[in-house]
Amino acid sequence: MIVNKPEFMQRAEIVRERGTNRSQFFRGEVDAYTWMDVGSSYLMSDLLAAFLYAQLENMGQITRQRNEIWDFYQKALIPLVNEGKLRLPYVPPCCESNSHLFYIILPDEEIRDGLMQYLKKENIYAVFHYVPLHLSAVGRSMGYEEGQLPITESLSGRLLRLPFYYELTRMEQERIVDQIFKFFSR
Amino acid sequence: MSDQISFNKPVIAGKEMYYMAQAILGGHSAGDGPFTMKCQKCIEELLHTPKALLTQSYASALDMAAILCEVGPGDEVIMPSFAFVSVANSFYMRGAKPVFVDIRPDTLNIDESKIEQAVTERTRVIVTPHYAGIGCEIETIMDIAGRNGILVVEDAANGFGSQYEGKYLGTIGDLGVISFHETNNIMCGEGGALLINNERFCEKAEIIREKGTNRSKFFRGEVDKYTWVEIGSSFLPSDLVAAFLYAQLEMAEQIITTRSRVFNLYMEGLQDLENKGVIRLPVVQGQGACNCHIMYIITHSLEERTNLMAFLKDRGINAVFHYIPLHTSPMGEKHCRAHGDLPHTVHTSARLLRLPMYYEIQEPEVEQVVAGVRAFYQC
Repeated sequence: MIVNKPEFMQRAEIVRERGTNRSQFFRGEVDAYTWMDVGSSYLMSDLLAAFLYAQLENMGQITRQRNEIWDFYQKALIPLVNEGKLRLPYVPPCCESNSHLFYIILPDEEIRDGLMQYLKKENIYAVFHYVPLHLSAVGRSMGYEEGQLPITESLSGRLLRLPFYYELTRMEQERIVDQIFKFFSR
Repeated sequence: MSDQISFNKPVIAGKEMYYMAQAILGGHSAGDGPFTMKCQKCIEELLHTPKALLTQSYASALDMAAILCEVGPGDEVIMPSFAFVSVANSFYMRGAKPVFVDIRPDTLNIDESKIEQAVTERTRVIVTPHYAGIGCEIETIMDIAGRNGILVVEDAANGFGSQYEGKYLGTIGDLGVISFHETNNIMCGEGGALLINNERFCEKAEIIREKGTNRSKFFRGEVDKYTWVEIGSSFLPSDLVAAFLYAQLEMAEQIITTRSRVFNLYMEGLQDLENKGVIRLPVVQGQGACNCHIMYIITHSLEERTNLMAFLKDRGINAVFHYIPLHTSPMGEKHCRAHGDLPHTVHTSARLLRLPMYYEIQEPEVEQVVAGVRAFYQC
């Protein structure tokens, strides 16, 4: 959790430590810790922090490599955009992406599902993403229904995420792109 | 100083790093990976319980229990005030009011004879910590709960491996919670488990633990997409943590056996002080009743305890007090109800002192602690 407002700092510390002032106790600011507020055990084992630290140290390199993977997809798929077969992610000029995922947007859900199946047969695992929350069991129980959020519903059905990870090689990416082209030229 | 005696040192079983490396190289470091499954199976077999789910912490297991019990505003939950904060907070966060009952002076567990008087038509749950890993009168409490249509969440935070009349702690109540926090006999830094002893909670527990989604069904191929079906959060631990825990679980028996030897050394070394009425020692009855998590003594007053603690500290011995009564905390005073004055809770909290206790503590160190206590009392 990123605490950007100073007024949340102290309470955040308490809420994360089961609702106690244990952090103050460990700093020697109080002589016993007690129940001060709501909270739970939101802190992680230091074993995990140790693992994370190695990754944080390499964050620059990881992001650079992911940006390259992202850029390759972006360039390689432009011809299909020009043919009106799919749409690529839009990154506003004021934003800089960490290249977490790469998605394409297909004209409709049928084409998306078709491409997904086609790629799967080629052992390429592309996956859809969020099921709109307002159409989940909980959302519907609140009274939401189809048609209320048309863009959300449409994009949820048309979005496909392509394989994306640090160790993905250029050759693998070329094969993925080739298969997407093949799907559209069938 | 080289001859400092710590209060606690986390145990290292030996294979933790090996299993963590396997988890990392296996490419599954998120939750519910192979080591989580191994741990859950191991806990189920060790404790003879139908279903164990690993959680991020003991507090998350309690949070899940509070959700499963479906408590809400206006409901009351009975618990001792001499308990860890999370016991109260998990239920308070669901809107329920903690109602505190006093403890028994012998085991320091909730006084079962006072529970029924605290029951109202709003009482939904009784939470029963087993202090120091020694069982409360859980069977009597189960009877009370059964008669009044109340659920029992058995808090075996520190009770992993202890028994009550041949049954493992945590497996008797409708739900049981266990802690694998660094300070426990078996640990993984931060971690816990929820034991589901009442089958009707199984499916919902799985959903709540997976952020309120039917993701577990999705992975089993029972549905083709997972979606939001319930309240919940990410209560499952990383498989890296489970890998660490698995190494410890494999050694559970040996860890408890070694701790029992330490515990017995203390008990033998301090027995005559109890006989003379100088201090009081833990009350343990029956085979397997204690996993030897905590060695405590009870002094006559807060002043005496404070002096003893300082006396031991001067000798490099780190002994520590324990729970501040929840009913006297800012939250307890404002939002909870105490059933009576809770005299035993107040007295115990002020007079109890925990002595150094860990897997690797050696006999000479235990003797040094015993000698320190004896020197303080000049006997």
